[in-house]
Amino acid sequence: MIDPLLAYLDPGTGATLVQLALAGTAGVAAAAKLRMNRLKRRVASEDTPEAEAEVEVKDEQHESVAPQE
Amino acid sequence: MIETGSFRDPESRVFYEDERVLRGMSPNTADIDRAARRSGLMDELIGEGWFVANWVVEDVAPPEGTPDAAVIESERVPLISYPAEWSFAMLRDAALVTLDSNLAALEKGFILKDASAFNVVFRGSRPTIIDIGSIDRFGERGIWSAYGQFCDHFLAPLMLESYVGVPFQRLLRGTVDGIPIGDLNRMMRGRSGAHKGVLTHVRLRSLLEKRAAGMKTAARRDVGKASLPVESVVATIRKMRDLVADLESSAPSTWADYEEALPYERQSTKAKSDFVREAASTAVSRSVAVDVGANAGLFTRILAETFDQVIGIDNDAGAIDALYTSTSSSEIDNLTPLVVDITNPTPAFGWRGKERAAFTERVRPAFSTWLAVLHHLCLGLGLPLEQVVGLIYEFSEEAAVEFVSSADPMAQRISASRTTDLAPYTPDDFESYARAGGAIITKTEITDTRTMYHLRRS
Repeated sequence: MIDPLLAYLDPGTGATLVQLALAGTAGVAAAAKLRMNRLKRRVASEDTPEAEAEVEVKDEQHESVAPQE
Repeated sequence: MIETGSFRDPESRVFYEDERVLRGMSPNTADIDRAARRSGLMDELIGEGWFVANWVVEDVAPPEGTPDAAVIESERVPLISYPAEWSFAMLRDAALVTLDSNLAALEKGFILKDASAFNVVFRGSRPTIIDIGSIDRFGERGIWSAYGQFCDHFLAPLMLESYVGVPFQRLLRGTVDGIPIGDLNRMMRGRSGAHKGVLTHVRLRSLLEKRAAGMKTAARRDVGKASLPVESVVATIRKMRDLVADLESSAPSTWADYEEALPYERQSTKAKSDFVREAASTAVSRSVAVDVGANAGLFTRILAETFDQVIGIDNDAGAIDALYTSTSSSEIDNLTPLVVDITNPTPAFGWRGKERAAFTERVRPAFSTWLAVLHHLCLGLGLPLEQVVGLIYEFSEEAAVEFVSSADPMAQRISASRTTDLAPYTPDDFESYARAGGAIITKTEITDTRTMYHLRRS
Protein backbone atom coordinates (compact mmCIF):
# COMPACT_ATOMS: atom_id res chain seq x y z
CA MET A 1 0.00 0.00 0.00
CA ILE A 2 1.36 3.37 -1.02
CA ASP A 3 0.93 6.22 1.36
CA PRO A 4 -0.39 9.18 -0.65
CA LEU A 5 1.21 11.52 1.89
CA LEU A 6 4.63 10.32 0.78
CA ALA A 7 3.86 11.21 -2.81
CA TYR A 8 3.01 14.66 -1.58
CA LEU A 9 6.17 14.90 0.48
CA ASP A 10 8.47 13.88 -2.30
CA PRO A 11 7.30 14.83 -5.76
CA GLY A 12 10.88 15.18 -7.04
CA THR A 13 11.82 11.51 -7.17
CA GLY A 14 9.05 10.57 -9.61
CA ALA A 15 9.90 13.48 -11.90
CA THR A 16 13.59 12.52 -11.87
CA LEU A 17 12.71 8.92 -12.72
CA VAL A 18 10.70 10.13 -15.75
CA GLN A 19 13.74 12.03 -16.99
CA LEU A 20 15.96 9.01 -16.57
CA ALA A 21 13.37 6.93 -18.41
CA LEU A 22 13.13 9.52 -21.22
CA ALA A 23 16.90 9.54 -21.55
CA GLY A 24 16.76 5.75 -21.34
CA THR A 25 14.59 5.53 -24.45
CA ALA A 26 17.22 7.44 -26.36
CA GLY A 27 19.82 5.18 -24.75
CA VAL A 28 17.98 2.04 -25.80
CA ALA A 29 17.84 3.27 -29.40
CA ALA A 30 21.55 4.01 -29.35
CA ALA A 31 22.27 0.65 -27.76
CA ALA A 32 20.18 -1.16 -30.35
CA LYS A 33 22.23 0.46 -33.10
CA LEU A 34 25.41 -0.54 -31.30
CA ARG A 35 24.18 -4.10 -30.98
CA MET A 36 23.45 -4.27 -34.71
CA ASN A 37 26.98 -3.16 -35.50
CA ARG A 38 28.39 -5.77 -33.15
CA LEU A 39 26.21 -8.45 -34.66
CA LYS A 40 27.53 -7.55 -38.09
CA ARG A 41 31.07 -7.79 -36.77
CA ARG A 42 30.31 -11.13 -35.13
CA VAL A 43 28.90 -12.50 -38.33
CA ALA A 44 32.05 -11.34 -40.08
CA SER A 45 34.55 -12.68 -37.51
CA GLU A 46 32.58 -15.55 -35.88
CA ASP A 47 33.75 -14.14 -32.57
CA THR A 48 31.21 -13.97 -29.71
CA PRO A 49 32.62 -12.84 -26.38
CA GLU A 50 30.05 -13.28 -23.59
CA ALA A 51 31.27 -10.41 -21.44
CA GLU A 52 30.53 -7.77 -24.06
CA ALA A 53 26.77 -8.19 -23.77
CA GLU A 54 26.93 -7.50 -20.05
CA VAL A 55 28.84 -4.25 -20.48
CA GLU A 56 26.30 -3.22 -23.04
CA VAL A 57 23.41 -3.51 -20.56
CA LYS A 58 25.37 -1.49 -18.05
CA ASP A 59 26.01 1.14 -20.69
CA GLU A 60 22.36 1.31 -21.50
CA GLN A 61 21.42 2.09 -17.94
CA HIS A 62 24.10 4.54 -17.01
CA GLU A 63 26.09 5.98 -19.83
CA SER A 64 25.09 5.42 -23.39
CA VAL A 65 22.75 8.32 -23.83
CA ALA A 66 22.91 9.95 -27.20
CA PRO A 67 21.32 13.26 -28.15
CA GLN A 68 18.16 12.71 -30.13
CA GLU A 69 18.71 15.43 -32.68
CA MET B 1 10.83 46.53 1.92
CA ILE B 2 11.14 42.78 1.23
CA GLU B 3 8.85 41.32 -1.45
CA THR B 4 6.24 39.08 0.22
CA GLY B 5 6.34 36.54 -2.63
CA SER B 6 10.13 36.17 -2.45
CA PHE B 7 10.90 33.65 0.27
CA ARG B 8 11.04 30.28 -1.45
CA ASP B 9 14.65 30.71 -2.52
CA PRO B 10 16.78 31.54 0.55
CA GLU B 11 19.76 32.18 -1.75
CA SER B 12 18.21 35.16 -3.45
CA ARG B 13 15.62 37.58 -2.16
CA VAL B 14 13.83 40.51 -3.76
CA PHE B 15 13.44 43.84 -1.97
CA TYR B 16 12.44 47.34 -2.96
CA GLU B 17 14.04 50.68 -2.26
CA ASP B 18 11.93 53.60 -3.42
CA GLU B 19 11.10 52.67 -7.00
CA ARG B 20 14.05 50.34 -7.42
CA VAL B 21 13.68 46.54 -7.72
CA LEU B 22 16.66 44.84 -6.07
CA ARG B 23 17.78 41.34 -5.27
CA GLY B 24 20.20 40.30 -2.56
CA MET B 25 22.21 37.14 -3.27
CA SER B 26 23.97 34.59 -1.07
CA PRO B 27 27.73 34.06 -1.67
CA ASN B 28 27.00 30.90 -3.70
CA THR B 29 24.33 32.50 -5.91
CA ALA B 30 26.47 35.62 -6.31
CA ASP B 31 29.31 33.39 -7.58
CA ILE B 32 27.05 31.71 -10.11
CA ASP B 33 25.65 35.10 -11.14
CA ARG B 34 29.16 36.46 -11.78
CA ALA B 35 30.04 33.39 -13.84
CA ALA B 36 26.82 33.69 -15.86
CA ARG B 37 27.62 37.33 -16.64
CA ARG B 38 31.24 36.53 -17.56
CA SER B 39 30.10 33.75 -19.91
CA GLY B 40 27.91 36.19 -21.84
CA LEU B 41 24.77 34.23 -20.90
CA MET B 42 23.07 37.07 -19.03
CA ASP B 43 23.63 39.48 -21.93
CA GLU B 44 22.21 36.92 -24.34
CA LEU B 45 19.11 36.28 -22.21
CA ILE B 46 18.48 40.02 -21.81
CA GLY B 47 19.25 40.70 -25.48
CA GLU B 48 16.70 38.12 -26.62
CA GLY B 49 14.13 39.73 -24.33
CA TRP B 50 13.76 36.45 -22.40
CA PHE B 51 15.11 37.93 -19.17
CA VAL B 52 14.28 41.29 -17.67
CA ALA B 53 17.16 43.79 -17.95
CA ASN B 54 19.33 43.60 -14.81
CA TRP B 55 22.72 44.73 -13.61
CA VAL B 56 25.02 44.55 -10.60
CA VAL B 57 24.85 47.52 -8.21
CA GLU B 58 27.18 48.46 -5.39
CA ASP B 59 25.45 51.44 -3.80
CA VAL B 60 22.72 49.49 -1.98
CA ALA B 61 22.86 47.62 1.31
CA PRO B 62 20.13 44.94 1.52
CA PRO B 63 17.76 45.05 4.51
CA GLU B 64 18.37 42.92 7.63
CA GLY B 65 17.95 39.21 6.98
CA THR B 66 18.52 39.44 3.23
CA PRO B 67 21.57 37.76 1.65
CA ASP B 68 24.09 40.44 0.71
CA ALA B 69 27.02 38.90 -1.17
CA ALA B 70 25.82 40.72 -4.30
CA VAL B 71 22.97 43.06 -5.14
CA ILE B 72 21.34 43.01 -8.57
CA GLU B 73 18.97 45.70 -9.76
CA SER B 74 16.26 44.88 -12.32
CA GLU B 75 14.26 47.00 -14.67
CA ARG B 76 10.89 47.62 -13.06
CA VAL B 77 8.16 45.73 -14.93
CA PRO B 78 5.01 47.85 -15.10
CA LEU B 79 2.55 45.00 -14.62
CA ILE B 80 2.67 41.73 -12.72
CA SER B 81 0.15 39.22 -14.05
CA TYR B 82 -0.47 35.59 -13.12
CA PRO B 83 -0.88 32.43 -15.24
CA ALA B 84 -4.59 32.20 -14.36
CA GLU B 85 -4.97 35.57 -16.12
CA TRP B 86 -3.23 34.49 -19.33
CA SER B 87 -4.77 33.11 -22.46
CA PHE B 88 -3.62 29.85 -24.03
CA ALA B 89 -1.09 31.45 -26.38
CA MET B 90 0.27 33.56 -23.52
CA LEU B 91 0.91 30.52 -21.31
CA ARG B 92 2.43 28.69 -24.29
CA ASP B 93 4.76 31.62 -25.09
CA ALA B 94 5.75 31.87 -21.43
CA ALA B 95 6.57 28.14 -21.54
CA LEU B 96 8.66 28.59 -24.69
CA VAL B 97 10.63 31.47 -23.18
CA THR B 98 11.36 29.24 -20.18
CA LEU B 99 12.57 26.40 -22.41
CA ASP B 100 14.58 28.65 -24.74
CA SER B 101 16.31 30.25 -21.76
CA ASN B 102 17.22 26.78 -20.49
CA LEU B 103 18.66 25.77 -23.86
CA ALA B 104 20.70 28.98 -24.07
CA ALA B 105 21.90 28.43 -20.50
CA LEU B 106 22.89 24.79 -21.14
CA GLU B 107 25.07 25.86 -24.05
CA LYS B 108 27.15 27.86 -21.60
CA GLY B 109 27.17 25.32 -18.76
CA PHE B 110 24.16 26.65 -16.82
CA ILE B 111 20.49 25.77 -16.33
CA LEU B 112 17.45 27.34 -14.64
CA LYS B 113 16.74 25.63 -11.33
CA ASP B 114 13.08 26.78 -11.35
CA ALA B 115 10.37 26.67 -14.00
CA SER B 116 7.59 28.44 -12.14
CA ALA B 117 5.07 30.23 -14.35
CA PHE B 118 5.10 32.99 -11.71
CA ASN B 119 8.68 33.75 -12.79
CA VAL B 120 7.30 35.04 -16.07
CA VAL B 121 5.57 38.38 -16.59
CA PHE B 122 4.34 40.14 -19.70
CA ARG B 123 5.92 43.42 -20.75
CA GLY B 124 3.30 44.58 -23.21
CA SER B 125 2.65 41.32 -25.03
CA ARG B 126 6.11 39.84 -24.52
CA PRO B 127 6.81 37.17 -21.91
CA THR B 128 9.89 37.87 -19.80
CA ILE B 129 11.50 35.96 -16.94
CA ILE B 130 12.04 38.08 -13.84
CA ASP B 131 13.67 35.49 -11.57
CA ILE B 132 17.35 36.23 -12.21
CA GLY B 133 18.30 34.10 -9.21
CA SER B 134 17.11 30.92 -10.90
CA ILE B 135 20.29 30.51 -12.97
CA ASP B 136 22.34 27.59 -11.69
CA ARG B 137 25.50 25.77 -12.77
CA PHE B 138 25.11 22.61 -14.83
CA GLY B 139 28.48 21.50 -16.17
CA GLU B 140 28.94 18.21 -18.04
CA ARG B 141 26.35 16.13 -16.20
CA GLY B 142 23.25 16.94 -14.21
CA ILE B 143 19.49 16.77 -14.20
CA TRP B 144 16.72 19.17 -15.26
CA SER B 145 15.56 19.59 -11.67
CA ALA B 146 12.71 21.90 -12.75
CA TYR B 147 11.20 19.30 -15.10
CA GLY B 148 8.34 18.39 -12.73
CA GLN B 149 7.59 22.03 -11.98
CA PHE B 150 7.61 22.88 -15.68
CA CYS B 151 5.05 20.14 -16.34
CA ASP B 152 2.74 21.19 -13.49
CA HIS B 153 2.92 24.92 -14.27
CA PHE B 154 2.94 24.88 -18.07
CA LEU B 155 2.51 21.52 -19.76
CA ALA B 156 -0.44 20.24 -17.68
CA PRO B 157 -2.69 23.31 -18.17
CA LEU B 158 -1.75 23.55 -21.87
CA MET B 159 -2.46 19.85 -22.45
CA LEU B 160 -5.75 20.12 -20.60
CA GLU B 161 -6.99 22.96 -22.80
CA SER B 162 -5.54 21.49 -25.97
CA TYR B 163 -6.43 17.81 -25.57
CA VAL B 164 -9.56 17.99 -23.41
CA GLY B 165 -10.89 21.42 -24.42
CA VAL B 166 -11.17 22.69 -20.83
CA PRO B 167 -9.87 26.25 -20.31
CA PHE B 168 -7.15 26.26 -17.65
CA GLN B 169 -7.71 29.73 -16.15
CA ARG B 170 -10.27 28.71 -13.53
CA LEU B 171 -8.16 25.72 -12.49
CA LEU B 172 -5.01 27.78 -12.05
CA ARG B 173 -6.77 30.39 -9.94
CA GLY B 174 -5.67 30.27 -6.37
CA THR B 175 -2.92 27.71 -6.96
CA VAL B 176 0.77 28.50 -6.73
CA ASP B 177 1.87 25.06 -7.96
CA GLY B 178 0.02 24.53 -11.23
CA ILE B 179 -2.01 21.40 -11.88
CA PRO B 180 -0.83 18.20 -10.14
CA ILE B 181 0.02 15.62 -12.79
CA GLY B 182 -2.08 12.96 -11.04
CA ASP B 183 -5.15 15.19 -11.40
CA LEU B 184 -4.43 15.68 -15.09
CA ASN B 185 -3.98 11.93 -15.50
CA ARG B 186 -7.45 11.31 -14.09
CA MET B 187 -8.96 14.11 -16.20
CA MET B 188 -7.45 12.57 -19.30
CA ARG B 189 -8.84 9.10 -19.04
CA GLY B 190 -9.87 7.45 -22.28
CA ARG B 191 -9.16 8.76 -25.74
CA SER B 192 -7.54 12.05 -24.77
CA GLY B 193 -4.68 9.94 -23.42
CA ALA B 194 -3.63 8.99 -26.95
CA HIS B 195 -2.28 12.47 -27.72
CA LYS B 196 1.39 13.35 -28.09
CA GLY B 197 3.35 13.49 -24.86
CA VAL B 198 0.62 12.10 -22.60
CA LEU B 199 2.08 8.62 -22.32
CA THR B 200 5.39 9.87 -20.89
CA HIS B 201 4.73 13.21 -19.19
CA VAL B 202 1.33 12.29 -17.73
CA ARG B 203 0.85 8.51 -17.52
CA LEU B 204 4.43 7.45 -16.88
CA ARG B 205 5.07 10.29 -14.46
CA SER B 206 1.91 9.57 -12.47
CA LEU B 207 2.94 5.94 -12.28
CA LEU B 208 6.53 6.71 -11.27
CA GLU B 209 5.42 9.23 -8.65
CA LYS B 210 3.26 6.55 -7.08
CA ARG B 211 6.16 4.11 -7.25
CA ALA B 212 8.54 6.67 -5.77
CA ALA B 213 6.21 7.10 -2.81
CA GLY B 214 6.78 3.44 -1.92
CA MET B 215 10.55 3.64 -2.25
CA LYS B 216 12.86 3.53 0.76
CA THR B 217 14.57 6.79 1.74
CA ALA B 218 17.99 5.43 0.75
CA ALA B 219 16.73 4.46 -2.70
CA ARG B 220 15.19 7.87 -3.11
CA ARG B 221 18.48 9.48 -2.18
CA ASP B 222 20.15 7.43 -4.91
CA VAL B 223 17.64 8.74 -7.44
CA GLY B 224 18.37 12.22 -6.15
CA LYS B 225 22.04 11.71 -7.04
CA ALA B 226 21.31 10.52 -10.58
CA SER B 227 22.64 12.61 -13.41
CA LEU B 228 22.57 12.63 -17.18
CA PRO B 229 25.05 13.96 -19.71
CA VAL B 230 24.31 17.51 -20.88
CA GLU B 231 23.39 16.28 -24.40
CA SER B 232 20.64 14.13 -22.97
CA VAL B 233 19.14 17.00 -20.95
CA VAL B 234 19.32 19.26 -24.01
CA ALA B 235 17.51 16.57 -26.04
CA THR B 236 14.77 16.27 -23.42
CA ILE B 237 14.22 20.05 -23.35
CA ARG B 238 14.26 20.30 -27.16
CA LYS B 239 11.63 17.56 -27.40
CA MET B 240 9.58 19.36 -24.77
CA ARG B 241 9.85 22.55 -26.82
CA ASP B 242 8.55 20.78 -29.94
CA LEU B 243 5.68 19.32 -27.93
CA VAL B 244 4.66 22.64 -26.38
CA ALA B 245 5.01 24.64 -29.62
CA ASP B 246 2.54 22.32 -31.38
CA LEU B 247 -0.22 22.62 -28.77
CA GLU B 248 -3.33 24.56 -29.82
CA SER B 249 -6.35 25.48 -27.75
CA SER B 250 -9.52 23.51 -28.41
CA ALA B 251 -11.65 25.32 -25.82
CA PRO B 252 -14.83 26.90 -27.17
CA SER B 253 -14.99 30.70 -27.36
CA THR B 254 -18.05 32.83 -27.93
CA TRP B 255 -16.45 36.09 -28.92
CA ALA B 256 -16.07 35.50 -32.67
CA ASP B 257 -19.73 34.60 -33.09
CA TYR B 258 -20.66 37.46 -30.85
CA GLU B 259 -19.00 40.12 -33.02
CA GLU B 260 -20.68 38.68 -36.09
CA ALA B 261 -24.07 38.75 -34.44
CA LEU B 262 -24.01 42.48 -33.88
CA PRO B 263 -24.10 44.33 -37.19
CA TYR B 264 -25.85 47.32 -35.62
CA GLU B 265 -22.95 47.70 -33.19
CA ARG B 266 -20.70 48.49 -36.12
CA GLN B 267 -22.60 51.65 -37.04
CA SER B 268 -21.84 53.15 -33.67
CA THR B 269 -18.22 52.02 -33.62
CA LYS B 270 -16.89 55.19 -35.26
CA ALA B 271 -18.77 57.49 -32.88
CA LYS B 272 -17.59 55.42 -29.90
CA SER B 273 -13.99 55.45 -31.10
CA ASP B 274 -14.06 59.22 -31.49
CA PHE B 275 -15.50 59.64 -28.02
CA VAL B 276 -12.89 57.36 -26.41
CA ARG B 277 -10.05 59.16 -28.23
CA GLU B 278 -11.32 62.53 -27.06
CA ALA B 279 -11.88 61.42 -23.46
CA ALA B 280 -8.44 59.78 -23.35
CA SER B 281 -6.74 62.92 -24.69
CA THR B 282 -8.29 65.02 -21.92
CA ALA B 283 -7.50 62.55 -19.13
CA VAL B 284 -5.68 64.04 -16.14
CA SER B 285 -3.11 61.20 -15.99
CA ARG B 286 -1.80 59.20 -18.94
CA SER B 287 -0.18 56.43 -16.92
CA VAL B 288 -2.31 53.27 -16.93
CA ALA B 289 -5.64 52.57 -18.64
CA VAL B 290 -7.81 49.45 -18.51
CA ASP B 291 -10.37 48.47 -21.13
CA VAL B 292 -13.01 46.50 -19.24
CA GLY B 293 -14.72 43.98 -21.51
CA ALA B 294 -12.03 44.42 -24.15
CA ASN B 295 -13.35 41.70 -26.47
CA ALA B 296 -11.19 41.74 -29.62
CA GLY B 297 -9.48 44.92 -28.43
CA LEU B 298 -10.68 47.63 -30.81
CA PHE B 299 -10.86 50.23 -28.04
CA THR B 300 -7.89 48.79 -26.16
CA ARG B 301 -5.73 49.69 -29.16
CA ILE B 302 -7.18 53.22 -29.20
CA LEU B 303 -6.20 53.63 -25.52
CA ALA B 304 -2.70 52.37 -26.36
CA GLU B 305 -2.24 55.44 -28.57
CA THR B 306 -2.50 57.72 -25.53
CA PHE B 307 -1.59 55.87 -22.33
CA ASP B 308 1.83 54.61 -21.25
CA GLN B 309 0.43 51.23 -20.43
CA VAL B 310 -2.87 49.63 -21.36
CA ILE B 311 -4.49 46.43 -20.13
CA GLY B 312 -7.44 44.88 -21.93
CA ILE B 313 -9.45 42.54 -19.73
CA ASP B 314 -12.25 40.17 -20.68
CA ASN B 315 -13.65 37.00 -19.16
CA ASP B 316 -13.63 35.34 -22.59
CA ALA B 317 -10.24 33.66 -22.93
CA GLY B 318 -10.76 33.22 -26.67
CA ALA B 319 -11.15 36.97 -27.22
CA ILE B 320 -8.06 37.68 -25.10
CA ASP B 321 -6.12 35.04 -27.02
CA ALA B 322 -6.99 36.71 -30.34
CA LEU B 323 -6.05 40.13 -28.94
CA TYR B 324 -2.75 38.77 -27.61
CA THR B 325 -1.85 37.05 -30.88
CA SER B 326 -2.59 40.15 -32.97
CA THR B 327 -0.76 42.45 -30.52
CA SER B 328 2.36 40.33 -30.06
CA SER B 329 2.93 40.30 -33.81
CA SER B 330 2.42 44.09 -34.07
CA GLU B 331 4.49 47.13 -33.17
CA ILE B 332 2.33 47.90 -30.12
CA ASP B 333 4.51 47.39 -27.05
CA ASN B 334 2.36 48.80 -24.25
CA LEU B 335 -0.75 46.61 -24.43
CA THR B 336 -1.27 43.54 -22.24
CA PRO B 337 -4.45 41.49 -22.65
CA LEU B 338 -5.58 39.53 -19.58
CA VAL B 339 -8.35 37.04 -18.87
CA VAL B 340 -10.06 38.75 -15.94
CA ASP B 341 -13.74 38.83 -15.03
CA ILE B 342 -14.47 42.27 -13.58
CA THR B 343 -17.31 40.79 -11.51
CA ASN B 344 -14.87 38.34 -9.93
CA PRO B 345 -11.27 39.61 -10.27
CA THR B 346 -8.30 37.48 -9.12
CA PRO B 347 -8.07 37.57 -5.31
CA ALA B 348 -4.85 37.51 -3.26
CA PHE B 349 -3.62 33.95 -2.62
CA GLY B 350 -0.64 31.79 -1.69
CA TRP B 351 1.37 31.73 1.52
CA ARG B 352 -0.43 33.61 4.30
CA GLY B 353 -2.90 34.72 1.65
CA LYS B 354 -0.41 37.38 0.58
CA GLU B 355 2.18 35.69 -1.63
CA ARG B 356 0.28 36.73 -4.77
CA ALA B 357 -1.58 40.05 -4.80
CA ALA B 358 -5.18 40.64 -5.86
CA PHE B 359 -5.76 41.98 -9.37
CA THR B 360 -7.15 45.23 -7.94
CA GLU B 361 -3.95 45.68 -5.90
CA ARG B 362 -1.68 45.15 -8.90
CA VAL B 363 -3.70 47.20 -11.36
CA ARG B 364 -4.71 50.71 -10.36
CA PRO B 365 -5.61 52.49 -13.56
CA ALA B 366 -5.96 56.24 -13.98
CA PHE B 367 -8.50 55.68 -16.72
CA SER B 368 -10.86 52.89 -17.73
CA THR B 369 -13.37 52.20 -20.45
CA TRP B 370 -16.66 50.34 -19.96
CA LEU B 371 -18.07 49.96 -23.45
CA ALA B 372 -21.09 47.71 -24.00
CA VAL B 373 -20.52 46.34 -20.49
CA LEU B 374 -23.10 47.90 -18.15
CA HIS B 375 -26.14 46.20 -19.68
CA HIS B 376 -24.38 42.84 -19.35
CA LEU B 377 -23.70 43.49 -15.67
CA CYS B 378 -27.08 45.02 -14.79
CA LEU B 379 -29.54 43.32 -17.12
CA GLY B 380 -27.64 40.09 -17.71
CA LEU B 381 -26.20 39.38 -14.27
CA GLY B 382 -28.67 41.41 -12.23
CA LEU B 383 -26.10 43.63 -10.49
CA PRO B 384 -27.54 46.90 -9.15
CA LEU B 385 -26.66 49.90 -11.35
CA GLU B 386 -25.71 51.99 -8.31
CA GLN B 387 -23.10 49.40 -7.31
CA VAL B 388 -21.75 49.15 -10.83
CA VAL B 389 -21.22 52.93 -10.95
CA GLY B 390 -19.59 52.62 -7.51
CA LEU B 391 -17.22 49.99 -8.91
CA ILE B 392 -16.26 52.23 -11.84
CA TYR B 393 -15.25 55.05 -9.45
CA GLU B 394 -13.48 52.64 -7.11
CA PHE B 395 -11.52 51.12 -10.00
CA SER B 396 -10.22 54.27 -11.68
CA GLU B 397 -10.04 58.03 -11.38
CA GLU B 398 -11.67 58.56 -14.77
CA ALA B 399 -13.77 56.45 -17.10
CA ALA B 400 -15.44 56.43 -20.48
CA VAL B 401 -18.73 54.59 -20.02
CA GLU B 402 -21.35 53.50 -22.51
CA PHE B 403 -24.86 53.36 -21.13
CA VAL B 404 -27.11 51.02 -23.11
CA SER B 405 -30.77 51.56 -22.27
CA SER B 406 -33.12 48.62 -21.77
CA ALA B 407 -34.87 49.38 -25.09
CA ASP B 408 -31.68 48.51 -27.03
CA PRO B 409 -31.95 45.29 -29.11
CA MET B 410 -28.90 43.77 -27.39
CA ALA B 411 -30.20 44.73 -23.96
CA GLN B 412 -33.52 43.14 -24.86
CA ARG B 413 -31.76 39.98 -25.92
CA ILE B 414 -29.73 39.81 -22.70
CA SER B 415 -32.73 40.34 -20.44
CA ALA B 416 -35.21 38.26 -22.48
CA SER B 417 -35.29 35.40 -20.00
CA ARG B 418 -35.45 37.65 -16.93
CA THR B 419 -38.72 37.70 -15.08
CA THR B 420 -37.78 40.02 -12.23
CA ASP B 421 -37.83 43.81 -12.53
CA LEU B 422 -34.31 45.20 -12.63
CA ALA B 423 -35.16 48.86 -12.11
CA PRO B 424 -33.67 51.33 -11.50
CA TYR B 425 -31.97 51.18 -14.89
CA THR B 426 -32.63 54.36 -16.89
CA PRO B 427 -30.26 57.03 -18.24
CA ASP B 428 -31.54 59.33 -15.47
CA ASP B 429 -30.70 56.77 -12.80
CA PHE B 430 -27.24 56.35 -14.30
CA GLU B 431 -26.61 60.10 -14.36
CA SER B 432 -27.73 60.61 -10.79
CA TYR B 433 -25.42 57.82 -9.55
CA ALA B 434 -22.60 59.21 -11.70
CA ARG B 435 -23.03 62.67 -10.18
CA ALA B 436 -23.18 61.24 -6.66
CA GLY B 437 -19.63 59.84 -6.93
CA GLY B 438 -18.06 62.34 -9.32
CA ALA B 439 -18.73 64.51 -12.32
CA ILE B 440 -19.95 63.97 -15.88
CA ILE B 441 -17.30 65.73 -17.98
CA THR B 442 -18.88 65.08 -21.38
CA LYS B 443 -21.86 63.18 -22.71
CA THR B 444 -22.61 62.12 -26.31
CA GLU B 445 -25.63 60.25 -27.64
CA ILE B 446 -24.42 57.83 -30.29
CA THR B 447 -27.76 56.12 -31.04
CA ASP B 448 -31.20 56.55 -29.49
CA THR B 449 -30.48 53.72 -27.04
CA ARG B 450 -26.76 54.28 -26.42
CA THR B 451 -25.02 57.20 -24.71
CA MET B 452 -21.34 57.77 -23.94
CA TYR B 453 -20.16 59.45 -20.74
CA HIS B 454 -16.77 60.69 -19.59
CA LEU B 455 -16.78 60.43 -15.78
CA ARG B 456 -14.28 61.80 -13.26
CA ARG B 457 -14.19 60.79 -9.61
CA SER B 458 -14.63 63.64 -7.12
